[in-house]
Amino acid sequence: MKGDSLLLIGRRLLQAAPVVMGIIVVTFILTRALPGDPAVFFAGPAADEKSIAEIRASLGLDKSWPEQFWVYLQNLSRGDLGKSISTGQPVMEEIATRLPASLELTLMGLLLAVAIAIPLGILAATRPNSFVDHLCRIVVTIGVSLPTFFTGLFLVYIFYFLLGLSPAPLGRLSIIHISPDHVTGFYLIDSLIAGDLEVFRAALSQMILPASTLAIFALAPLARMTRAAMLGVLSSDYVRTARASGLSSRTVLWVYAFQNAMLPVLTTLGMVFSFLLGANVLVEKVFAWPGIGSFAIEALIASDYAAVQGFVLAMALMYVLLNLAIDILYTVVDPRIGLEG
Amino acid sequence: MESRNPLLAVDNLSLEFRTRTGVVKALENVSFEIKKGETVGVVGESGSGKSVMSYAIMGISDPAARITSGRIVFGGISLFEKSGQELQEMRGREISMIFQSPRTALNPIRTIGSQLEDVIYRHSSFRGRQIRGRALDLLNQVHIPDPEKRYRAYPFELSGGMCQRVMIAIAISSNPWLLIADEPVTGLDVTTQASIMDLIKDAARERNMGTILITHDLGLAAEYCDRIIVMHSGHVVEVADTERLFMRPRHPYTAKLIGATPNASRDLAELSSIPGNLPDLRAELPACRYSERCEHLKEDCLEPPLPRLETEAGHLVACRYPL
Repeated sequence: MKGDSLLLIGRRLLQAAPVVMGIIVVTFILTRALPGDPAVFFAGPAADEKSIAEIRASLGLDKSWPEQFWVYLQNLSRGDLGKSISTGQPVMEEIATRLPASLELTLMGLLLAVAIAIPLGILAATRPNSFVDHLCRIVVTIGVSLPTFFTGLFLVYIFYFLLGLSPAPLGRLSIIHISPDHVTGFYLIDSLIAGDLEVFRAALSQMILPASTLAIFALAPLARMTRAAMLGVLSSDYVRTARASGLSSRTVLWVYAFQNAMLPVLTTLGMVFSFLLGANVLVEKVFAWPGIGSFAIEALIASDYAAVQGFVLAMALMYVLLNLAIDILYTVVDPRIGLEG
Repeated sequence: MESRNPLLAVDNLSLEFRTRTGVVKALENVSFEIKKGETVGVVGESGSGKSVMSYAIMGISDPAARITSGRIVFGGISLFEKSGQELQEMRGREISMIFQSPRTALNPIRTIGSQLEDVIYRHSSFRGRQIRGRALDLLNQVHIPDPEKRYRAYPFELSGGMCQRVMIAIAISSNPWLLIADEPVTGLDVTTQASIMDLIKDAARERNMGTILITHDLGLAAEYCDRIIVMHSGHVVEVADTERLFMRPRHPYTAKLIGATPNASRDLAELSSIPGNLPDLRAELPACRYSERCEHLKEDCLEPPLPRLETEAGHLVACRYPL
């Protein structure tokens, strides 16, 4: 079984290679097909034809597309994503510093959502038409119907403006704190490694509102899927067998029902995580979060080819890795998924 | 337990389901007894209430089910007086059940060894390595080849017949007094059917275990049962020793059912079907629920009460004008 799993993982990795290649091509073409001339933008309003042409040449934009693509590929193989034309920084560096901020926020939101949605879904399924079931329905409806930027602003209005419970929505740490030494890039973890509880608390308090915003958005599909999967599993033949065998309610619920119900929930979790990466863009804007989403928006507005390419590439790689992780988890949880799967 | 007392007595049991489209009267005044060591067949077409009745005995009825009258007495004690906890401990220890479609009746993502261990752990004083020993012993008893290897197998890696053997191993793990087998061989091929039925028969004989065999296959019931209970849309219409039932059926439905069963000594052309369908159990029903399909219908058949005649010792028929 173990060798099979390793083989499966290897095959999935190989399958990911053409996907990544396709993404490289598509992002290259898409960014060049976008309206707006980066040379004009970069040269500034006072520039004349000649200086624009000079800048175009210095950016390599005067070459043909195949040539540009070849250069892009060569750079890529060296881990060089080019320079952002608006900040002048290497895109790779920008992404490396901003990605952990986005990931930390997304994972926190997901963790919160899972911690609430799964117990809620289970309670709703085991007590149909009870108070919890109705609560679950209400939470799900709210979660799907509120756009994240609205939830974010609403939370800021209540908890910062009206109640003053949370700090100003201005990034990962308020200016009075110094960011912890970079180890993982996750402030919550780095501050703990540094043993600085004050920074940890400050980072956490900054994170609660944006993470909650994401969590409210992610709750709905998770709670709904947990409830549906549990209901299905609880009326299955094998749960009936477990009951008929006199197994305790706890064993029936956790060992027989829950483990089986987690299979579809796992799939949903993967999907929700990808949605969250997208939803992040707006939430980061609302909370001035120095993440990869806000970086991408600015790059897009500035027709910053290299930055947009780098962003899309990073996101695509994350999707691929995420799907791989979900596949691996599946093989661990479900013995029926083998090589042919 | 006295052997003269019945192992299980179902007494005037009525059960209904509350559904959105109305109340389904799934069982009405069902009465019968099972003695220790006896194999009793429950036959009838789909929807006659065979499975509903067995779930009620097990105490695993659907939440929408409601028992409106009657008692189920097992080993001299009324099951309705037991607590949920007591019933839970009784299931799998004193009364066990096996089901149709064994492959879906086992947890797909748990090895059969673990599933067997779960039940042994629950109902015995075995602990640690003893549990594994007991589980392997049980797999041997149900004639599973190479039990050590099968122990780590998942249900999807085994055939339907093998899965049913595992189900039987789980069911008999605590030497129960009563085994309810709900269509245990439906969907299995004929040779597997015979070996599974023989396995159930042997397990019952070794343990002097009462067996309820629920089936729509009269031939199967005839071969393996001491007595047969015939059900039709929630009523017990006839109860008799197997031989007597086939020699001289007294209820028109039983007669039709026998006439609809293929038999080696009879031509296929002689097979007859039973006209009509089961009545809608949500509607107002006449006293005799078979009346609509009956060829011998007389006016007062529709009047309550539904009679229960004992035409001979041990031969009960719920018909005013038995054949």
